[in-house]
Amino acid sequence: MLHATLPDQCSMLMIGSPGIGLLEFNVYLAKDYLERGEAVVFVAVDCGARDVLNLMESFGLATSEVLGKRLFLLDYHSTLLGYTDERPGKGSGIIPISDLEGIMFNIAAIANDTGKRIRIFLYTLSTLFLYNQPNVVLKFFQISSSRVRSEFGSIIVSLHDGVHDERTVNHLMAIADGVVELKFDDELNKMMRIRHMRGYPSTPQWIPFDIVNAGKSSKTKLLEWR
Amino acid sequence: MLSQSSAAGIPQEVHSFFTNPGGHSLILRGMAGAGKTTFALQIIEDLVAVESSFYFSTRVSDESLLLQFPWLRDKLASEVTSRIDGQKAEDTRQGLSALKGINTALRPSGKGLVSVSIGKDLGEIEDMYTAVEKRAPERTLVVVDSVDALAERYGLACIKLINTLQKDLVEGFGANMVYVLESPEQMLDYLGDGVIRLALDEHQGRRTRVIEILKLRGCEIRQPKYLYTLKGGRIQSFEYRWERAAGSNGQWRHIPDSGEMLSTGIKDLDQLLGGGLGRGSIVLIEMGRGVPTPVANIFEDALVANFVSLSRGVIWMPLRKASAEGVRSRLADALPKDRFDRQVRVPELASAMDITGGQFVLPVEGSSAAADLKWQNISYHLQGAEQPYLTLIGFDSAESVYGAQVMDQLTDLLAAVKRNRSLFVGITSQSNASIERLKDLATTHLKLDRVGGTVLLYGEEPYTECYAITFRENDQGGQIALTPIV
Repeated sequence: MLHATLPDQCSMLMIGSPGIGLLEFNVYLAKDYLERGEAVVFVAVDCGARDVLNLMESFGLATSEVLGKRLFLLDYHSTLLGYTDERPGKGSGIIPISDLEGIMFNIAAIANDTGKRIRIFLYTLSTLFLYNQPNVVLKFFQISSSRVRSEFGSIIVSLHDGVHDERTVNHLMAIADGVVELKFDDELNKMMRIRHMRGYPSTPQWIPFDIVNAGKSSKTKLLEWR
Repeated sequence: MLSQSSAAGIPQEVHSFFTNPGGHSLILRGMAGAGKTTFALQIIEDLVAVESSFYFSTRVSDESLLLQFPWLRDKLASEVTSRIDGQKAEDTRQGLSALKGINTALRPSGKGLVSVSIGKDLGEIEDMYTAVEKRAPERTLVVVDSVDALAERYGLACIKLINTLQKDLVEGFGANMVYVLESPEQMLDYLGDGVIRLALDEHQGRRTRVIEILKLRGCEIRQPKYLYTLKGGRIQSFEYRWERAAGSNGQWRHIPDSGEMLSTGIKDLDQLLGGGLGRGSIVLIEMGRGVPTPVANIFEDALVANFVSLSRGVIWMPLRKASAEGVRSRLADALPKDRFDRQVRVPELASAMDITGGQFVLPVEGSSAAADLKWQNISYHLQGAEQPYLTLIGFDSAESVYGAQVMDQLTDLLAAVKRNRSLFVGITSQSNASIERLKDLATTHLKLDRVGGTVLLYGEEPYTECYAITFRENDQGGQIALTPIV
């Protein structure tokens, strides 16, 4: 699993082409962490908390069993859209937040409550750039990366490729401990690679990946005689 | 007594190769229609008692495979479609991970509707790994039919796929692998521990099939070429060995006539000839170079024993100048001696006869076969036997007594045989001068040839395909079987 490649305490930037499946990739990793008994905080900026939960369920995760116990969703999306009604409470596992400060504040609280190392997913940093000055977002990323690494566990922050200037992206990559790139090849096959990971060797090899129907059977059966 | 059969499934060398300690890989190649799939399935059947076997086909659907080879269904245990996860698999799938395009084992953990699959999806190949891993440390046999089609399906180089399976499954798990190659080319031979080529060949315008054992690492190859047949949808290969006597198994149990047809004493041969040999017919059995003596003796003995058992008379000039006493002893188990003495006459030169020569010896002068083998003379000596008579002449012996022109001297005898609706059988070897004359006169012409160690029988008249001669316990007649090479 990819988590085997990620250090226990790190900040990771996941850069992907639009439509490549960044959200699915994040959900896949989150589910994997949860199945290993770890605590996950998912910061939903680009989509609603309910959408994330539905996607997790389609990946086979029984969210009702872990939500509010080891799975927490920080819902920034509703605030950005201006929704103020139907705001669930903290105990439900879905926590509404209204500003950047609220993200780290709640992460610290959850880490404190669970007493566990936590895995944080932020989807996506690109949208934060729409609502905040770039230097504010950069500063947020630098501070939160530093805190998560030293106090809470690991954070994977998603960024859409091609929508930010090169300098900003380079700056983000410089702050992160590692960068995972997701892109389409010339034939629109999905490819990924670990661009770099601080303290670990990495190869430039692009790895094919796909979002598939789970449990897909083989084209041909293997017959057994005993 | 017969101790074993010279017909088997897969060659003994292949059986030993796969049952030796450790994992082994075998490349099986040959032209289309050579029987590669059948051979691979025969390996499974022959080894199923010692190891679990898995068969994977890119070419034939499961159902049509089972229709084509119904015997497979009996031992079919299950279809392996599940996949395993876990650290153990990650540790032992390094080669597979490389094929998938990943340098660490990244695999989906999907129980839901959607999953992320990292690396190439190598479904069937992963199933093979699963099958072997699940059975470990028990040894398994995996047949990949065909490996080049599988490689093409996943856009892999065949050489890379075989190398990966070799490293992970054969060397890593000690599994036995059979790679069926569609291509008859030998480019990939070096990748396997063993290589077998199945070839379609021709003998006298008739199809033959040959297993060529080109390489079996760590295994002694005693017989590099085997003839084989696909009769009944199975592989049956034929060994060289002819060291055993192939006479009757105890007292001869005769095969009765089939209407007007006289039995040869060999069930399968009767069947091949449409019931047996016609009354009044002249039969030529032509032996090719290298046909072992015991094989020729089988036909002589069966004919004589069956005729005698039916109370009929026999004039017998045995092959290779075998003595009268010798052939009598040869048939001692099959026939009571008094019946042999009463019903069989073996011509021997009077000048060379022992003074104690038995009743079964027919003294002849040796100057003219026409004089020595007059029908009246024969009838007189076979008074205690019934007609039709069998006149069985080994032409190597006949020519040594009467010279190369012996056929000129047998004209009257052949006419009498026809007239009396009896049977004349001449057995010739390559060097006999009488062959051409006998060919012209023969109403039935059978040939025995040795091909790659196996003795084949086929008919020129009537025209038949090639049959391999093997041993088999029969309830009646001689203990041999004729297996068509199809």
